[in-house]
Amino acid sequence: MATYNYVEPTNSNLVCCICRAPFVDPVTTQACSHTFCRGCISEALEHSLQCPVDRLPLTPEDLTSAGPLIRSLVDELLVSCPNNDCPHVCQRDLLQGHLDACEFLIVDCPEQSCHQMVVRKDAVNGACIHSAVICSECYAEVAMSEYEAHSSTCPDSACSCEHCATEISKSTIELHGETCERAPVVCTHAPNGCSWKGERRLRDGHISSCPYEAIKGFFIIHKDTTAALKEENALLQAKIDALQGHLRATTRDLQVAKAALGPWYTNAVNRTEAGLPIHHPPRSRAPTSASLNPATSPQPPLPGPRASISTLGSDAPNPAPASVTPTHVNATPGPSNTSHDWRAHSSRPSPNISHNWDPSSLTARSIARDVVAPIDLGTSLEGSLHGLRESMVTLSTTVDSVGRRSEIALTNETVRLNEEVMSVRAHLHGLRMQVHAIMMDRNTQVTGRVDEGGGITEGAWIPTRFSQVPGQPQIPLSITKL
Amino acid sequence: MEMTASAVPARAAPKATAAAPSQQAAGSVTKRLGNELMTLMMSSSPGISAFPKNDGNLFDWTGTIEGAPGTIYDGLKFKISIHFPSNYPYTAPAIKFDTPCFHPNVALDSGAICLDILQDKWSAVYSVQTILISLQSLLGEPNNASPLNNDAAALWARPDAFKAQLMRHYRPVE
Ligand SMILES: [Zn+2]
Ligand SMILES: [Zn+2]
Ligand SMILES: [Zn+2]
Ligand SMILES: [Zn+2]
Ligand SMILES: [Zn+2]
Ligand SMILES: [Zn+2]
Ligand SMILES: [Zn+2]
Repeated sequence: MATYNYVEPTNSNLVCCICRAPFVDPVTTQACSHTFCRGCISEALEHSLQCPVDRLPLTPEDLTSAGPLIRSLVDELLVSCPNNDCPHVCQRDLLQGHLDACEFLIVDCPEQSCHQMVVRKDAVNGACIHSAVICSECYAEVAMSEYEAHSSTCPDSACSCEHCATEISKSTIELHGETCERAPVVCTHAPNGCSWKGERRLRDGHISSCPYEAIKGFFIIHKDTTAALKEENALLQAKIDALQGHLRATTRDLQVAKAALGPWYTNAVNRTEAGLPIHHPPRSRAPTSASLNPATSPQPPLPGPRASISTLGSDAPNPAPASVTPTHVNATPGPSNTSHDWRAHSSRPSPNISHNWDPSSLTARSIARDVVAPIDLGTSLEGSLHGLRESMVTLSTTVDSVGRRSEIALTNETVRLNEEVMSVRAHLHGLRMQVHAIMMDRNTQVTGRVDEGGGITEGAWIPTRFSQVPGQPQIPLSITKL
Repeated sequence: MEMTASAVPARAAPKATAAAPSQQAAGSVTKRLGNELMTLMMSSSPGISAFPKNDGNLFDWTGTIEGAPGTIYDGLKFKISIHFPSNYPYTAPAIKFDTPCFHPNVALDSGAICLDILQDKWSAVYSVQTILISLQSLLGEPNNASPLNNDAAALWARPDAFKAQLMRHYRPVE
């Protein structure tokens, strides 16, 4: 017997360390007193002649049977019968005796011609249980060993209906249940809320008085309507989903556009709120100016030349180019011409503008000039860029012409100054001549007196005498004559 | 079962009843393996575990070994496969690394292990648990005198370079 089924855990001192089960026919080594099953240690010694635990040299001759104490301890261990289905449990040394008589031992079928196996208890009556028998209910062939199982499931075996006590075969009992007059049923309007319950034969009676029966038609219509609404709902839901997706995409695009537009975006929104056209200048969106004609609405003064224009009369000379002397405005028309060009933001200089402009053309020009402001939020981004570009061109032209103008003015001034210097020089010469003449005249008189008084030099007394001369005021008159 | 019968030594019973002893032998091996499985599952040995690969066959197991803390293999998990011979426990089971293991006593490509208790020093009293614990300690304390992987044995003295090589070959257990 190689294996036992021990029913309880075993004391580890009784376990062989090779097979890990309680000793079977235990033997002990002489040299090291280790105990093993005889089978286990014999097998181990065939592989290696040493004790498996401590590797000391060991031969089969060194083994002696273990003492009676160990033997009886392992023999008394409880084991269960190894045959399937046998519940027998006994001491290990008694198991062999039980196996000799165990009813669950597998043996050959008593029928000589049958080559199958049976458990011993099925063979005691000497008949082969493998032969077929006929079921008395369904007339099917059933093996003898399966007859018991069959009789409980035979479709033709009789049984009675639990409701009406009718005798009926098992195969048709389900069918009968659907028509049995006494089977409990619910009202046909139960789905709509009728709580009636009762035997099937009473249902017709109930239905004739069932309150739900009266509005039977309504339920059908109601059901159809609900179904239609559900369908519509689903359709709408799908549409909403699609629109939401669309909205999300649009919002995203809008955010991108907003980020790209920057400050221009905010302005466009405010202007639209005031109900004014997009192209209108931004500062006129105030409620008071909203009703005004855009062409005449007041333009806030801008720094520089523009302020001077709005305060001037229609024909007033432009004082903006302060570097030019007023007396030379008429002589050099250039300055006023270029200053108008600049304001009008016309890239090509047109001389006639400066001479012919009137108040209406001024306002029109100032509106057009609004594009100039580099941070004019009233126009589109592109408009502003375009305006800025034009401003640059105009500015460079203006700088050019101003340069030319100053050059001309400088030349003219020099010429004029030269002329004046020349005339002053001439006057001075005349004066000198006159003084000389007077001196000569006086000299003649004084010389006559000196000759009388004598002793005084010419240079010492002349200035004093000259200032004390009563006729001195007459000298400027003579100069003016010259 | 045929293999089992042929593997049983010549002292087996005469031909007429040949089936009985071989069945008995197979039964006792199965019983012992079941016993070992139970012991392994009940005991809590840190870092080692082993189970049969599939329910029907108790002779092929798969196990995992984790490197012991403080060693160069700390935190690394290695998968090993264990095949038990039909005359287990009288001969040692065949064991190899499935996870590539860069180690002086392990062949990198085949996963073969050079460990004395798996060869000539095997004893019938050893068990799967004994083997797994021995392998775990072999990881941290290789026997550089008889290397299977000479590169690993040469690098052992330089832990940084060794670890780099180890990690280069290592594949985490899923
Ligand atoms: Zn010993
Ligand atoms: Zn044993
Ligand atoms: Zn029994
Ligand atoms: Zn039979
Ligand atoms: Zn039947
Ligand atoms: Zn019935
Ligand atoms: Zn009703």
